[in-house]
Amino acid sequence: MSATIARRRATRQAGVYVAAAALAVFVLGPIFWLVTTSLKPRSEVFASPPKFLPTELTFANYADVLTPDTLQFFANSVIVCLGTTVMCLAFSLLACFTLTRTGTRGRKPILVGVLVSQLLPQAVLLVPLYRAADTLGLLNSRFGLMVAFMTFTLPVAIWLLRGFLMAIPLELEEAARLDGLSEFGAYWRVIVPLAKPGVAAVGIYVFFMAWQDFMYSLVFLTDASKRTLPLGVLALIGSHTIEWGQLMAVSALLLVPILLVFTFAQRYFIAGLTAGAVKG
Amino acid sequence: MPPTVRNADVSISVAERLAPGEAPDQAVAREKRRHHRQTALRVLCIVPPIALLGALVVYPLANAVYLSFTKSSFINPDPDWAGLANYQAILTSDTFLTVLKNSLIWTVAVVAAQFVLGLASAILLSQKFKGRLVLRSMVILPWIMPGVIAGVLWKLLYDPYLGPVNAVAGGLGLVDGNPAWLGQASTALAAVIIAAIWKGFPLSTIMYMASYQGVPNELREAARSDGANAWQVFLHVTLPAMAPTIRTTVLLTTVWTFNYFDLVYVMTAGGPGTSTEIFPTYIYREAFQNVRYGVAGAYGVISVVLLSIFTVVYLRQLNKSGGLD
Repeated sequence: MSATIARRRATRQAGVYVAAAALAVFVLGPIFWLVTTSLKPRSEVFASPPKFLPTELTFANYADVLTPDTLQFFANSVIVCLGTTVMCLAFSLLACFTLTRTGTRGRKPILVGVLVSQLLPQAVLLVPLYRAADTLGLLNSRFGLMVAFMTFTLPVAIWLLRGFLMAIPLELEEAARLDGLSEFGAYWRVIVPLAKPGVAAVGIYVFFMAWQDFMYSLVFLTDASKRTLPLGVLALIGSHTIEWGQLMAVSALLLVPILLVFTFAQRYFIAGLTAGAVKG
Repeated sequence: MPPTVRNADVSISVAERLAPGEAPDQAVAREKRRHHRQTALRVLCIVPPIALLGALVVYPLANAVYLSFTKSSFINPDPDWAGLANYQAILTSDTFLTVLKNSLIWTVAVVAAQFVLGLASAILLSQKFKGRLVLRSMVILPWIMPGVIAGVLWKLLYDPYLGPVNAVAGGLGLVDGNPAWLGQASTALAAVIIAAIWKGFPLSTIMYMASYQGVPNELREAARSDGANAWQVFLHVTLPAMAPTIRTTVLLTTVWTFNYFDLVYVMTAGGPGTSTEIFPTYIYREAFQNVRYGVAGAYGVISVVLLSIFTVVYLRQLNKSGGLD
């Protein structure tokens, strides 16, 4: 009897390992390919049939792509994404002061509006925004791109931040008020500092969303010197041959900041992610 | 979330405490002034963010609707009023049917697969096995990767001669020669869909993992002691308990997938022909390659109408669960 149970348990455990291996291959296989291709010498990148394990590793592709241009693109990306994060946090902290007061009339329609704008197809907004930016001279400008990024980051940031702020117990605000702080003072000096981890999570999530962008950069930046890194990646796809080794090396560079953020702030990151999607 | 009330109620208790030598009616007047100041400050704080959202979202949306009634071209990019001409042309064109069909296939296939794969992997990663913590933190990688990288990476994976897909499939005897998965209309959409599933399913995994682990074990134990087998426990206990998370996640992934531009644009740019053209990529093509803002606007309006069904469902659900209070 116990032998059957033990055998059944062993079969189940084996099944778990097989499934885990399959999942690992599916998820990590492509990433393995990205990393190894970036480290292969050109002759092996263009070997057909492809070599699954490189026979020698080289950083030649990285050396090839680490040009002043690429560094400029990288700097542009970092500046635009950090700028977006700062502006987005400032505006959403302001908005959330009002949106966390349940007594305010007209709060619900605003919240609905914020949510709906988060679900709109960005492609629809693209043409009018492009034309408006053209008129205002904001094309090919890092500031213009930051403002454009707020289209999809600000609604999410307001929504997430409000969730984190509402989770701070009301008694703390009441106590601050009885100590003589104004309503805004209580918000700014007591509630927001207490919600610091939440504010950090929102900031990280906004940076992440901005770093993911491709469509707005594609439309707003046509001047080569203003390009961000995603466009640098695209520019490497020539019309005839694609230098896959270099392309994968640039891709790896584009992954680094996101991996750093993810490694050092995983807790905040997951908090922002789950709060953003499900608690809604 | 517990219902919390943050409003002027607090100030009433302040009003009850008179300042030294102050008459009660003076205190009430003082409180009234304070109350007005407070309201003004609330309005002042909400105006800049809402004005910005108005300029970035409401104005472009209204402008897109206006543009959909105009005509422009590469030679004459300024829009001229054209009435319903764009809609008439679109609704009778084959391209529209292709875009609509592709968008539906793309959305349904990607969302369904992400649901199944997300749920299965969430349950798997909640089991005890060696290396699960490593796998748990690695599984998110495709999702945090910018879409443009995922696009070029999968382009390489599918490369007929240099990519591992044909090498593996050929080695297993599944394919003859070196098919160009992205280069032929019959397989391009399926190939892009697989890449999108890979890119997006980790989000569902994270959501479902949190939800799965939140189902109280006592519930499962109780069902088991009533004689339910593992499958019945899953179907009648675990799944219903996870239902709210599943509903929200499926709704959101539907909207995001329908709107997703990067992957298709980088991998196929909608081609070959129009075989992988979905609403966002086709709007981009009409607006920025053909400079037909009106047609792009009309496609945009149609896609907003299609999406609004899901948006309304999502809002209703959120309202019911008290998320808007």
